[in-house]
Amino acid sequence: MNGIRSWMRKNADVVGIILVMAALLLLFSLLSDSFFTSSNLMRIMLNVSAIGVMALGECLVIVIGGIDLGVSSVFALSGVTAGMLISRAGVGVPEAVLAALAAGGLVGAVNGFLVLKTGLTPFIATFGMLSMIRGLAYALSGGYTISVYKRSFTAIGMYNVGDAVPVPVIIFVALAMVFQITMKKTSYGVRLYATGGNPAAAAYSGIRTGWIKFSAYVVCGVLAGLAGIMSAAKLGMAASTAGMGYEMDVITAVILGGVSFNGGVGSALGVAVGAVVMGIIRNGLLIMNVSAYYQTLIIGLVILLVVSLDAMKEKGLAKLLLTLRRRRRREGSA
Amino acid sequence: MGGYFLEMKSMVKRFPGTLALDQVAFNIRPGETLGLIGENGAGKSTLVNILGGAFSDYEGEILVEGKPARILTPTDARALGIVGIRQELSLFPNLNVARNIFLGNEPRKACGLLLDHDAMAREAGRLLASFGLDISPETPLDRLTVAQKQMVEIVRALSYNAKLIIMDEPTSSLTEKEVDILAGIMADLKARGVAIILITHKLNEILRFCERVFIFRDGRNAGVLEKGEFSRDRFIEGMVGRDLGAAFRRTRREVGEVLLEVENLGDGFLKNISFKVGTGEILGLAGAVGAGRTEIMGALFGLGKISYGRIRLGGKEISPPHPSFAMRAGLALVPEERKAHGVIQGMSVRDNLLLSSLGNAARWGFVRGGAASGIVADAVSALNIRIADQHQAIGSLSGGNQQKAVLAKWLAVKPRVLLLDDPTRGIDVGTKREIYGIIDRLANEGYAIILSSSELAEVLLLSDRVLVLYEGSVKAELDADGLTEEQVLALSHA
Amino acid sequence: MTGTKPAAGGLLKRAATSDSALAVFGIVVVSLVATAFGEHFLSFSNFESVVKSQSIIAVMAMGELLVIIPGGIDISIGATFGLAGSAAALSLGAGHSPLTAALIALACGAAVGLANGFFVAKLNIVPFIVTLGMMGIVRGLIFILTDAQSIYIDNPPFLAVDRIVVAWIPLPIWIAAAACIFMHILLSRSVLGGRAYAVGGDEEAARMLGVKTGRVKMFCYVVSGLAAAAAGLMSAAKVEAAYPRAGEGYEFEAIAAVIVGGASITGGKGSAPAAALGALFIGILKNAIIQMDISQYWQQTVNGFAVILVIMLSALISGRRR
Repeated sequence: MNGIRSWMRKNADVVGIILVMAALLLLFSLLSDSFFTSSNLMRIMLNVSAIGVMALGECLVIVIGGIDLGVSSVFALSGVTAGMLISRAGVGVPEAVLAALAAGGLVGAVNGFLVLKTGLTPFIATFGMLSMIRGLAYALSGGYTISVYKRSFTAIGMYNVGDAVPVPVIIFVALAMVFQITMKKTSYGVRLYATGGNPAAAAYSGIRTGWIKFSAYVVCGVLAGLAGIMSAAKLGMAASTAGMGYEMDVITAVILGGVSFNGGVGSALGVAVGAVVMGIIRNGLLIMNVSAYYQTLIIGLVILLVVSLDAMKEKGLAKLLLTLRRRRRREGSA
Repeated sequence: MGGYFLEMKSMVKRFPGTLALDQVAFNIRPGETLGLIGENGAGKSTLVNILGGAFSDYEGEILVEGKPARILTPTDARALGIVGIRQELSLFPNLNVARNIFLGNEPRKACGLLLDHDAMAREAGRLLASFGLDISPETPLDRLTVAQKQMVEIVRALSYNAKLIIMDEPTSSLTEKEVDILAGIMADLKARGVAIILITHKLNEILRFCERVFIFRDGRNAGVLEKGEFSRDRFIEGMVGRDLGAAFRRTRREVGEVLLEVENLGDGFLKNISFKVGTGEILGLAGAVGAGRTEIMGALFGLGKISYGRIRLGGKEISPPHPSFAMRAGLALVPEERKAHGVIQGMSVRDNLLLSSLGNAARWGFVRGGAASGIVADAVSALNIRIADQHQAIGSLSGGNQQKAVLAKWLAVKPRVLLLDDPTRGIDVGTKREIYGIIDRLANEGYAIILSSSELAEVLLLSDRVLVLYEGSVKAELDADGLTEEQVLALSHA
Repeated sequence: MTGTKPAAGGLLKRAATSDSALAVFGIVVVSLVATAFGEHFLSFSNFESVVKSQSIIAVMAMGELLVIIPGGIDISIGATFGLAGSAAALSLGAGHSPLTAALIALACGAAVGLANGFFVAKLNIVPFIVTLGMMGIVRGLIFILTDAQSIYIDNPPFLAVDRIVVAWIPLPIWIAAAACIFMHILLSRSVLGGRAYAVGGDEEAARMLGVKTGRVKMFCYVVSGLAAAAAGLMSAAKVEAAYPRAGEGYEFEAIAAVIVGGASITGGKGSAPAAALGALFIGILKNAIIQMDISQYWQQTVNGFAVILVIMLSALISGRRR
């Protein structure tokens, strides 16, 4: 009991979204018999895995106080890169995957450079990259959809380990764990939060904040690339139009996960749960035969609800503290 | 005596752990230019902040034009005609001069929807011209010099019908010629019946401008002098004598070999700074606000660009481009601005303490729970940091404990030179004494320490030698033995 | 103390550093390059069609500008744009007059803006998050209202908005020009507009001077919603239909126009004519890329590169933008 309480205190930012997830699971289970089945739950996980992986990378960037709007284009670029290399150039699958990940990392590096060295705000820099990289993916693919039949490649998206768990789900869950541990247990994690929480104080403490920020953008690019590969492998094809608009889903997952846009607050666990919550809403509505039109509406409502509760909690807390202090003072002076 | 514009009686203001104002009385007549002097922490800023509406939780009585008044918000202050001109000006660089003057109070036309640009420009021009200022109302504010911006802020105050203007170190970034213009404006304001509170560390400005001076010390009144009683000696006599070290005595120690040598160092502001510090020595930096204390620390720690000069540490020349290099060379800085540069408020005590020594606490990049807890526990007990739990947010600690944590963060790296920039700023008296003890002990352990403080008594109390700074250069280097505050103040306050 | 009379050549310097300089510079460069390499670029009809199609973006950009100046951002305008079109089409279908339909659409836009303003100003939530959530809500509303169907519009008076030519110039261009003039007056002449700059420059200082910053922001979001709705109506008249996905991604085009027009994404800076020129620049750029026979594949890259280049130049020229 004590362990749970101390865990909850250390992870206060995650507790809210986990409760939301539990409530949604309960709600949909009560409303529909076909919701809480292992095959359906696995389907949810599979559907959110690509967005979830991207959201983990985005989480790093937002924690250091930046933002990357270009992840969806990197998603397309890496799929196209891998597809072209395998289907057109006959490159081996491992090499092609590495090249696609490297492409993602390179875009991240350019983002980092633009943000750190040119004085552009992250919003503007990555916003420009959004259309540039999408165009690059289009140019590379010639506008065609590239089919990739190689078994060893499509396995990344389709193979079920133990006939039960699809590879993308394993990648997503494993990465979520790796990120959670990295952020909470390593020295890099401490530096990351420090850089986002107060860049000046972090630099005054001898942390190379520039490199920390740069690394976050690079990792975010690599993960967006990985998500693109996962998706291309799942579909057996890559297209430059893949993932259009995904940046919004990714950022939504990050917001739901309790990451603060001011930097320094948030966790990989929360973001992973945030992505799953989005998946649960979509899937649950579908199962209940609620028209798909309500999905975006409800997710929008959930965003506003979660952040409003957060804002009101903070406001309420501040007010409470103020009255307490006043009362103490009155007692003190009396 | 009647006829005061403002009268304050028995003012008390508490901060956590400190009594910033203790039964202070203050008054000013219409049209009077009144000086307010005292060392840092004497209560000057607290008093003017109350007048500006920054606090709502003070005790005492305020009378404005004989009538009781409550000043709880900046709006209250403005309604009473009290306006502060601070060092960091509250102007809008993206708007032009006329708009800055009238923001929130714009002349309007068309049922109040549209700005009356003509009236605004005319009025602004008239106000500016009435002070003999050659500034076009249409000029974007960011094209003005600091002095001109200050004038604009004064003019804005007048557009609100200000009756009392508080000037906090108004000449700190002005050239001599600009000070003359300011003098003219002050005379002008006086002629209009506007009262002025002038806060300054330049005593000759008090002699030049003021008719009366209030001296504060340790949050209490330490005297009021009329023009006829003015003299630099009497000012200094009133300011000194802070009771800091009743229970504390500096240990006598042998200073070891020279560890840090600074030779002819300079940047945009600092000029030809040279000094040496040995192991086990505390070198004090004395000087008024803006004399260059923080800048010297910053230059040593890789925070600013050095244009010339050399720094040698243990015989090896260093020129750190970033704090991380200075850290590796063996320097550590406890910065002046604890909130902005010292701690990361939202992070835990533990993570804050580990920030600089992550290399020691981690293996293969993983923070080892045991090692980290050990480092943290050692630091907590060595410096007697009072915490409930390593995982509590550092922002929830008192200022003194936060400051100890900042120091502990650096001691965990085992540096050789400690740069302590105003290490007891905003800290309660009890913890101050504790920190004095710690600093003294660290010197005995062989650290070379450079100590700067806005409180002169503190520098004299702890240092072996004192470097007196004035406007970016070294005015004197003195042995701390037998040195008095009067001697130093006479050098640091022109 | 020295006076601040503009020195000789000051006018040139002022022109070079003014907000619109970069957009104008970009337009000239792109036009020159396009004229040199393309055949049809330098024709009146081509230019007119570019201006006409960009007039819709320009109207949206006016609203976005007003939100960006006090330090906000509105990414829900694309969805509001779509909502306005659908709302108008639905009410026309229900037999309302074109005027009523337009008013209903504008009211929808204002309502979305009001909701955005409430969350931003009253609850102090980051504008990006608020408008992202609102984007989802509004887009979902469109799907629900229209059943995700495109609605064709065959009401001649309504469609005339796109077709009328007044004094040789198509009506949409007049509308954009009017929006630009209105916004210019609002920003440079009105009390509220002036305060919007102050809020963007230093919100705390503005509050200290008695400016009701929340009310200023609220107003800006409402106008932004109205502008997006107006643009949605113009577009519906142009394509003779309301598509449920109409306006997707337009928010970014409007933001790009505003930023190319010299506004700062961190607030406090920007002007209406410059933002209109920014919208024109983006239109001309797109058109030039097509006219220059740049392989279709590279068009988007070139487009993104040119936009980012112009923005970087403006950041460098206006000094370090922190």
